[in-house]
This record gives sequence, structure tokens and C-alpha cells, in this order.
Amino acid sequence: MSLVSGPGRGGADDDKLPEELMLSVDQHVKYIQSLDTRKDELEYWLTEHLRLNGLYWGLTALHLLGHPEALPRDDVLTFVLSCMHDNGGFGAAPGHDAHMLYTVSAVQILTTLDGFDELEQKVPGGKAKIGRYIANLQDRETGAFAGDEWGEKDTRFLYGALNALSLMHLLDAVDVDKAVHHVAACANFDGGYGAGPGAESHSGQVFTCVGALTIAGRSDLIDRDRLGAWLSERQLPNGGLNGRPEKLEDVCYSWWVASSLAMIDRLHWISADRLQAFILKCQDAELGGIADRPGDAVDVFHTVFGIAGLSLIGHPGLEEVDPAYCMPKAVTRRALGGR
Amino acid sequence: MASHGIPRVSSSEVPTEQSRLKEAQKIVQYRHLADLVNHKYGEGQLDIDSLSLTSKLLTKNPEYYSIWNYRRRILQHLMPNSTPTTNSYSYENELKFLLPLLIQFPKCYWIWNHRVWVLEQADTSLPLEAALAFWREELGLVSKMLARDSRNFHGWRYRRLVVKHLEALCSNHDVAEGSSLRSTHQIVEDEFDYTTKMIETNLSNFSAWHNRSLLIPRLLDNRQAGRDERKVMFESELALIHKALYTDPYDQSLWYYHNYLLQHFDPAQQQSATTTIYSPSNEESIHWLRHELDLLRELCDDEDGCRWIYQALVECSTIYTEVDRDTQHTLTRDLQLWLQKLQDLDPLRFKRWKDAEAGLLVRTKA
Repeated sequence: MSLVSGPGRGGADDDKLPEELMLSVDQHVKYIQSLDTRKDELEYWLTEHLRLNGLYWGLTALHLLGHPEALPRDDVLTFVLSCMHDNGGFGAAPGHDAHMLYTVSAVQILTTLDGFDELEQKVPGGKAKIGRYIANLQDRETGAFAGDEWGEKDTRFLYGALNALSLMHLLDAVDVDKAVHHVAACANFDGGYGAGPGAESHSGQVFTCVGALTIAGRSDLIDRDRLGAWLSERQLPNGGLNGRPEKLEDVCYSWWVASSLAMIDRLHWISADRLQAFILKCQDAELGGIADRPGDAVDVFHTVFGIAGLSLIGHPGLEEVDPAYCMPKAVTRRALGGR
Repeated sequence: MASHGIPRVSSSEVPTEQSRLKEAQKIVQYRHLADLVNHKYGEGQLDIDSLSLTSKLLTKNPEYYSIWNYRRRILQHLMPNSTPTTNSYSYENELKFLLPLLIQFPKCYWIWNHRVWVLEQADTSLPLEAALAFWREELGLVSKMLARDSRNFHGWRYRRLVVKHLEALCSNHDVAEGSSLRSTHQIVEDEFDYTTKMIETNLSNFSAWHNRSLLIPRLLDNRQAGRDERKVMFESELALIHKALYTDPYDQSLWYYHNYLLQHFDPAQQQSATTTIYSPSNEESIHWLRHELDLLRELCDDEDGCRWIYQALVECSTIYTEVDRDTQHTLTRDLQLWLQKLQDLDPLRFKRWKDAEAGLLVRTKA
């Protein structure tokens, strides 16, 4: 790999910003590149069930950082396709069972890398197969989606289904109206949404529900002021965002909360400056990667959601992110056509 | 890969040869076990030995979802043939295996899911009383889990699921005298009492307040409560939240529940039977809203720096002007002052209050 990355602190050409507000771009790129080489750590093996998600997180972070070529495209596509099952679903890694969560990551990676031709070469009719796998997980009575054949239902899976199907132009394969109806039934008195009807509002679930309604073109159903108020209350005096009332801040909510606010045109209801300062305090400026809170261990999950949050609030030098998909806007624009 | 709250190890700490070797040894052991289990899964081996191996692997790594799938296939094979011999494996065994895992990994989705699956199996293959005994024990278990972490998202979700299931089981069967079956109505009443208990332990438990808002309308329906009884319940909830707000006006959990009660007065809010305690008449709304405003102003005098009180004043008077249009002139000036106060007190959300102020000006001009 001939990626130019220098010694010293990242973001060196961002000379307009004070040092503590600089994103360590080069370190983050190197950190993500190093993830697959850490086979001498037990943690690497214990997290195999997240491999395909991890690849989506890492790849998306690299694209947003402006280093889309930092992971070899062919290697990534080969790995993704090696996770595919005959039924059209994807597992977390070769040998792992198919599940919605990994199937969505696979579709997002294939879209970002424009790799559907390679899919069709390896698996003729592959795209249609993926569509059928996802469509079969919808409960046609309630509109909800299961994660796999074992039947756990959660708005995370419904969102994932609409995300992946829309990227492949296969939304017609499911009952979108029923799905929308189900999401509407997950709304709470505080304006937020839960994992299912009656479940407590949670920022992560709010993202999935608002994202699903946005993708379905039904954000008219959202009580924007009430939800916007609840979401804005997630910002704490230290600038970070939490997931529920009276809980601790965490970098991943920089994404779940801020993207939801962006989708309902209320992102200005929180302090972008304070959020930016918080996220940057969570980065390991020396070795790369972002943690949940300052001083904690970094991981690729918090790295992508920290960077995506920064992109959303317009941190200089980052590619624009699509709040409904957590993918580069340039990619979703290409895939969806003029969005 | 998604670590929460784990302190960062200093980058200057180079692992010693000894710790490196120890790590390598652990990797070999783990991979050997994982390969063995996957090999058996691939071959479709569904015996008790394979089950033990999945136990061993899942204890080391409960996030390994495919192994939970394999385990369920083994159980599907073993359970129907289960007889009280030395080889038998029961639902009790499975639930017992899961308990320490749940306590150690209370946020792992797969363990909670698996537990639900086991109980659902018990439902279909055991007599009602036996199945019911399992589900009822789950309430005890989840109470213990919530005593350890009173906001555990999974725990509350699981609790609602167990209750829903118990209700379904009870409503499908006549409740015999002396039976362990409790009536559906009693379950809702007990759950309501449980939220009271949780709130009394810690006012700041929004999960409990949330559940309470869902339980009260159901409880009133079950009781076939008339307007008078509903009104009494509504008033007692108002009194409860007022007492709580006087104790800690900085606790946002309380203000959300207060807001839920205020929504009962809002004509713009779609009233649905599943979320409503009582539907006040216009006169009643005006009476209560006036009382609410007095009370909030009083609270303001004691706690001038508390932004939540101003938010509630804004919310309350906005509803008031909707209910009684004549108040618009008198309240608009106050509203403007409160919104400006919020811009001072709450700089993080400065633009939210600016937007609200702009909205107010548009409304008063219209």
C-alpha cells in the first residue's frame, strides 16, 4: 500500500484550527488499516461476529476522511462475497450464519465500492437473492422485520431492511406502508421512538425509526418539535450526547442523535462547537481511533460514528455524510439517483 | 470492537514476552474450541456433548450468535425426547445455564433472545401450569436484574415482554381458585405498583415513569373506570409529580412525565385511549393549567437558575393559550420573557429557544 501518511500529528494542513480541534486524519487511517493485522490479540478473535460490520464502519470512516483507497477494493469485495449464503443473506464472517445486520453491512459496502457487477459475476442473480432474503424477514401482518429465521423483532432490523432495499432499488419487494405503520406505533409521548411498540425512547432506536421514515418518504409522520426537543436534551454540559435521559454521554450518540436532528431539520438545536470539541477529545491523536469517552479504549465503531458526527456538523476537510444512511452523500446520491 | 467504558492502555506500555505468550496461548485455546464447535455444527451433530461444547464457547464469548443458533438446533432435537434419565436436558437446565451469563453480560442481546426462545418452547410443550411457573419466575429474575441496574434497557423490555406473555396466557384460560394463574387485571395492577416502588427508590428512573404512562390507561380500562375514578387517578399523578419536582427540579426524568400529564390539556394533541388517563373538559383544563402556572412560578422563585421550570412554563402557557384564546394577550409577554431567559440559561440549545421565540411572534401576529 503506497498511502502517503506522514510522521507527526494528523490534519497538519488544517492550519486554521487550533491544535486541540484538529482531527488526526492520518492516524485514524492507519488505525483502520491496522485492524485486520491484529491477529495476535485475543480480542480480534472474540469479535469475529462483528467482522462485516467492522468492515462497513472502517470503510465508511475512510471514505469520510477522504481516503477511500486506503483499503484494497478487491480484497474487501472478496471478503464480503465470502460471507454470502445460498439464501442471499450474509454472515459476520465466513462460516457465520446469515443475519439482517450483516446483510445490510454487505449491501452498504457493495454500494460504496460500486461492487454489484462483481456480485453478479460470482453469484448470478445475487442482488435479487439478497432482496428476497430481506423481504422474507418481514412480518406481513405487522410490517415489522425479524433479524433472522429465529424471529427477534426490532426497529433496527426494519431500518436495515429499508436501507439495504432502497440502495438496491428493491423496496417494492416489501410492504413499505405496513413497515411505516409499525414505526409510527413505536412513537412515545416524549416524541422519541423505541425498539418496538411500548418500548422506551432511545436515541439509537430514534435513528432507526426516523431513518426508516425518511427512506420511506414519510417523515411527515414525525412530531418534529417534540422529537427535536427530546433529542436536543441529549446534549450534556460537556458537549457530548447521551442515549436516554439521565445517562452518560458517548461518542456513538454523536451520530444517532445528530443524524436524527439533521433528518428533521433541527441540527441547529444543539451546540455543534461543543459537540465537536467533545468528539475530538475522545480521539487517540497518537495511535488513531476514537473512543466512547475521553481516555477510554478506541474501537472502529466509535471511530466511524465520531467521524460521521463531525462530518454532519461540518468539520472542515471531511466528505459530506448522508444522515439517513451513514454513508458518504456522494455514494448515496450515485446509488439512489439525485437524492 | 465496540468497547464501552474500557480505560485506554498507555501506548508506551509494550507487552512483555510473558504476556505475549500468555495471549498467544489463550488464542490457540479459543480458536481450537471455536473450530471444534463449528466442525460439529457443520456436520449437524445434535447430541448432548455438542451442547456442552457450545456452553463452553458461549461462556467465553456470548456474542457468538451463530453458536446460539446451533445451540437452539441441538435443543430442538433434544427437548422433545427428554426423559428423566441421566442424559436428559430440561428447560430448567437451560434457564440455569443462562442466568450467570445474563448477570455477567446484561447488555448482550443474544442471551436475552435465547431466554425468550427457551420459554416459548416451554409454552408449546409443557402443560399450562408448568409453563406459567417458568414465566412467573422470570418476573422475579428481571426484578433482580433491575435492582442491579434500574435503567437496563434490555431488562425493562424483557419485563414488558414477560408481562404481555403472562397476560396472554391468563386471558386464554379461566383462572381457577387457588391456581398460580393470576388474572390479567392483577398483573397490570402489580406492574403499576412495581413502577411506584422503583420511583420511590429512585425518582430519576425514567424507565419506570415511561412504563407507568403505559400501564395507567390499561389499568383504568381493566377497572372499567368511569370519569370520576379517572379524574382521581389523574389528580393523584399530578400530586405525585409535583412532590417529586419539589424534591429535585433539576431531574429531567420528572419533567418528561410532567409533560406527559400536561399533554392531557392540549387540544392539538391527538387523544388516544391507549395513552390517556383522563379527558378533562375545557373548564377543568383551564382550572388545572392556572394551578400549574401558579405552582411553576412559585418553584421559579426558589430555583431561579433551573431552566427546566422555564421550559415547563413555556409548555404550560402555550397550551393555556390554545385552550383559552383570551389569555393570549396576557401570556405572550411572559412567554417572551421566559424564552429569553432560556436563551441565557441554556446556551447549548440557544437556537432552539430562538426558533421558539420567532414562532411565538408569528403566532401572535396571526
